[in-house]
Amino acid sequence: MEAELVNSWIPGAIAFLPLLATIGVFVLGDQRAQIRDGLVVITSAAVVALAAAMYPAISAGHVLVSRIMELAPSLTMIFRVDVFGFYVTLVAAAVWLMVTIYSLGYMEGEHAQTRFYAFFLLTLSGALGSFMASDLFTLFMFFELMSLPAYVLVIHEQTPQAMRAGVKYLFMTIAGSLAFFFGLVAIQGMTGSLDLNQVGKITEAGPLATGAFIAFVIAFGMKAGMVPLHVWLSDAHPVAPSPASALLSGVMLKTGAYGLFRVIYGIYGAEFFRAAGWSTWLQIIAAVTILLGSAVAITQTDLKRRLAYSSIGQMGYILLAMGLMTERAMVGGAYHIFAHAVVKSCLFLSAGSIIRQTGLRDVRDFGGLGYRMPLTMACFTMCALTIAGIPPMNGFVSEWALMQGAFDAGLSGYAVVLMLSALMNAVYYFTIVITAYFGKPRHAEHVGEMHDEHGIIPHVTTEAPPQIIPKRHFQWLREAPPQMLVPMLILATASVIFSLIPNNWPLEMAQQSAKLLLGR
Amino acid sequence: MNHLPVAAVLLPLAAAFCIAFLGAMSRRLARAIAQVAVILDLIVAVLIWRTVSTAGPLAYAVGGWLPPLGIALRIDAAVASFLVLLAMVTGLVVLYAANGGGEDTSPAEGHWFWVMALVALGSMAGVLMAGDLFNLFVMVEITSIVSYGLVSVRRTGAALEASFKYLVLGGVATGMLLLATALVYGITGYLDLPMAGAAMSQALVDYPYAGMAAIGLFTIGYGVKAGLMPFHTWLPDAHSSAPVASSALLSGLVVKVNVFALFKVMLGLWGSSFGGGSPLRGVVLVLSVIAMVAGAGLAWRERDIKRMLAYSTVGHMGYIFAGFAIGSPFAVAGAMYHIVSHALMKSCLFLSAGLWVRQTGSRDVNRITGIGKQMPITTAAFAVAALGMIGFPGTNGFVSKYYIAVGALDGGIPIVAISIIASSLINGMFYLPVVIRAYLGRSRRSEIAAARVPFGRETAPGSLAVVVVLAVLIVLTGLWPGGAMAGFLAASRALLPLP
Amino acid sequence: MVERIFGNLNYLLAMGLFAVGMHTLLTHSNLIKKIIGLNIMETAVFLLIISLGYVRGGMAPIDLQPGQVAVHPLPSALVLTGIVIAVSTTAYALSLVIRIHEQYGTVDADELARIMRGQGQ
Repeated sequence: MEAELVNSWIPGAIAFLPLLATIGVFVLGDQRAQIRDGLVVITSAAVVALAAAMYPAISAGHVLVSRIMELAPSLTMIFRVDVFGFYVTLVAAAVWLMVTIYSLGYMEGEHAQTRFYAFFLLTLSGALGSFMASDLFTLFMFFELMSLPAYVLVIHEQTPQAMRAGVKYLFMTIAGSLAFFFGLVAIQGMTGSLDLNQVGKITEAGPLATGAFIAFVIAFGMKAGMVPLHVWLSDAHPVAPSPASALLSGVMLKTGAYGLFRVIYGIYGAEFFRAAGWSTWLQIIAAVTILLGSAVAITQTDLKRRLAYSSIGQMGYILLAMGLMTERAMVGGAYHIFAHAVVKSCLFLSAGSIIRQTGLRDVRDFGGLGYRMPLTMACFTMCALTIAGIPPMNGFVSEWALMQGAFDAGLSGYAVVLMLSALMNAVYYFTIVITAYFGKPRHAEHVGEMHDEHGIIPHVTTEAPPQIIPKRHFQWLREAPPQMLVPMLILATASVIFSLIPNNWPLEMAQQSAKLLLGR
Repeated sequence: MNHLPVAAVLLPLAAAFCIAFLGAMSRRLARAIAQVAVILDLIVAVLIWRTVSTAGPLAYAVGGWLPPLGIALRIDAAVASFLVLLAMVTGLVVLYAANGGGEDTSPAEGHWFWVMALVALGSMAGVLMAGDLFNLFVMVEITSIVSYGLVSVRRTGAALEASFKYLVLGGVATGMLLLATALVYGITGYLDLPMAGAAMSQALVDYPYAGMAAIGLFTIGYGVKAGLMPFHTWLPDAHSSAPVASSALLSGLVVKVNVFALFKVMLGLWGSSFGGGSPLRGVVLVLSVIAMVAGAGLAWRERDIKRMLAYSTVGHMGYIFAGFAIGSPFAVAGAMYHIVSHALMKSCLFLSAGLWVRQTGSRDVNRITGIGKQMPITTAAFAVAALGMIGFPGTNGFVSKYYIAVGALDGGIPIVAISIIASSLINGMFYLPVVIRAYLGRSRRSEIAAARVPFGRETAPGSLAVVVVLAVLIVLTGLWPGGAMAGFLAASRALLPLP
Repeated sequence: MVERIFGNLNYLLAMGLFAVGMHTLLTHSNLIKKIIGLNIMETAVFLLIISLGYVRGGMAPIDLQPGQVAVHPLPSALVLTGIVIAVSTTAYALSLVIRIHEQYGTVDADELARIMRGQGQ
């Protein structure tokens, strides 16, 4: 199925617009904060608009190509947007826009805002560029462009914890980049080209081909949070400011999965992959990732750490889809990219909202939160239901497709893994929801009468003794400001609505992507 | 137009002589002559480059005497590109030094820096263009002697001792090179490179031991001057005790020119890289692989920023030697490109580090923390160059490493690709913390106040501009290596025997 | 065998001289003696080159009569240039030694190394 290639300026514009805007952000700086913030929002919105503008051509079956430059023989910077690329780009851009609007509220009064927004935009450029890359060099370049500025986002708070997490992140990112470099060089050596669309050139699983594949798995798996390379994730996502965590979990992890999709299905090819037995390995690793992520999430009491481990588990779903290789599994995996991006970013945004407004991070202290922050918790609850795979939410759609895919492949064991994971997800999400609506804060049980007379006593994660705040000074409703609420609501709605309406656009996109990748 | 090659050598030398005599009278005059001379030399280099790109390789007989009686200068695409690089980097360094750069502003050395930098420029151009073994030897020697001088230009104790060590080791190398040249003349009867090369195959049959001795002596001799492990011992002291402008020239240009000279000799005489098939190639490969990793490892242990940069040079010379030793077109082109990219990166690193040191009065990386807030542009330039050293895509460092790695796989020596990766990782481990702590560390106001320069300003705008230009070039040549890279590839394909 | 040694005596001596020079350079700690060693090494090379160019019964190629053999001028040219280079290097080295002596009061390499280490170099 050879689609028609159409030259277009749009992909290039999408990738470079945020890059140029970064210069504007640095120039405007803290003096002209309002204009700077406006610039950031406008850039994000423009990128979404541009991405959406690609739809007519994509739906007509074309593939949009932007040739930017040729650095040297075989090193080219070309963007090539097919159905899968378009779908992922649009989802990422939309999520990013929501997070941008949220950031305006969240980062109010924070330090180093210019730095934050500048590197925010650089990361955006890198992520979108990765999704649209046509060849390994472009992918490598934008992958790096995304990963390195993300370091600055991770260490934003500059606490000792943050710096430690940052070092871990940086070290693993660089190791991953070098693995990527090795894979890049090996592919060039074996096939003579770095194109991401050259199935069939590698015919035997020799040492170089295998080495290159392992290198790619390391590079992309590390970014996607695959076990055992996930160790940076559980430290980096919690210490980053919540909008950054939302993007790390929501978008950046997906670039890892996306890259691996492209390498497996675009360079090695599905047949070769299956024949070489690597798909089995990937399935096993994915299953371990799912189970480990979900299981450890249960043990975490810090909200953001719990969400981080949950991300690890969820990314395992996508990796499993890659390994199963049946069409329905691929649909499930591709749909999950959308579902998880929307849901996890919303979850992190609500976590940020909770932490900022109440100072609470420990899930055991969330008693009564459902009434103090009704909208935030409503979003949280909707997303939790989605992830746990409750029909008819998005999460259910992807999980169901995955399970069917597992049966299609004759590997029903993985369906069991998925069900176990769904159960564990339910456990650790619903406990939060239940605590929020039906629970009392932990220390209130010890303190007893204090709870009724003096209002709920906030318990922050430091070991300071709980303060008793007289009721007249106490603010019951601590809901977030509208800039933070609206994006969350939009995202939460998106997580529900698409599976309810008959025209489930992301699902359609997912189906077309699966077909594309499998070459049908 | 037809006498340009000689002009490339004579112009800087003439300017140097002028400065040597006039500079004692007026330092300002010396500076002016120096700056004008480098700009003129850049124009000459660009003109040569244009001639070669349009009309093909250039051969020039000095004085009109044709070989074998006369001396020929031979310029192909690669040489022309290097000439431009030479002129550009030397020009930038001279501008940097002329506008207040460097660690301190004491006028101790007077005008001698300009003199030596210009002589170095002329003699290095001579090395690049030499088509005759003895001319090559003379030019290499001039470059070496001037390098010893560049190290000790400020006459600090450490620099004197380092310069002496450099001189001694360099002198031994000189002896070996002269011996090797004599041997080649003895067995072939020619000094002109192509003619000697033509006679070489027969000569090797008649005098196998002399041939082996010659190739070994050339390798060791140039290896010492280029800083190949284990002959690099003079380098860390020399490049770190020299003032940063000298270090930029030494690390960025001098060592490279010596590698290229070795490569030219090998190709011209033995027809392939490192006497194709001889055990020497294997030895050089092993040494360069070790150098890549060990150089980076030794740099990691250093706390003095200039020693760190010097050891890093040793590591990167390993890349270049490896590329040349592998011998496949991609690898050789990559090595040539790495000459260009490392020259730009290392000079940018040294020059921006020089601005830091000038501001803080200290060379210890632990005391340069927080300098990024006060000197964001300088630190940004350092960061760009550091990313280039690690091989971040979008910088020229990536392009050259990529080509060497692909060439390594082509040439069937994957270990080189692996050690490139390992070396890049270690490079990251010592460069990135410097950049991160520069921007995010606590700034040390008290120490900075003690330094001569007032706190709170980016210093020396002229020197800063140079550093920025270098950083920009690093990115530009990383994104548009086109012309130069294609030129190198063509040159390497033309020079090397087909596999 | 003996003829071979005598026939190539110059070359053997040159090699021996080279070794002597290298040995002096490497083992003596006095800086001036190192410079001397360097000079001996370079002289050895000059000897080798001249020996290569020796022609029995040869004359300088100026105003030759028929029947006379000329000596190739090139080796002499090489050696002259080499001498110039050796002289420049020696001059520079000696000036360095003078400055080192001014700074540190010693011309002994080991002593110097000790001082440098002591200074935290």
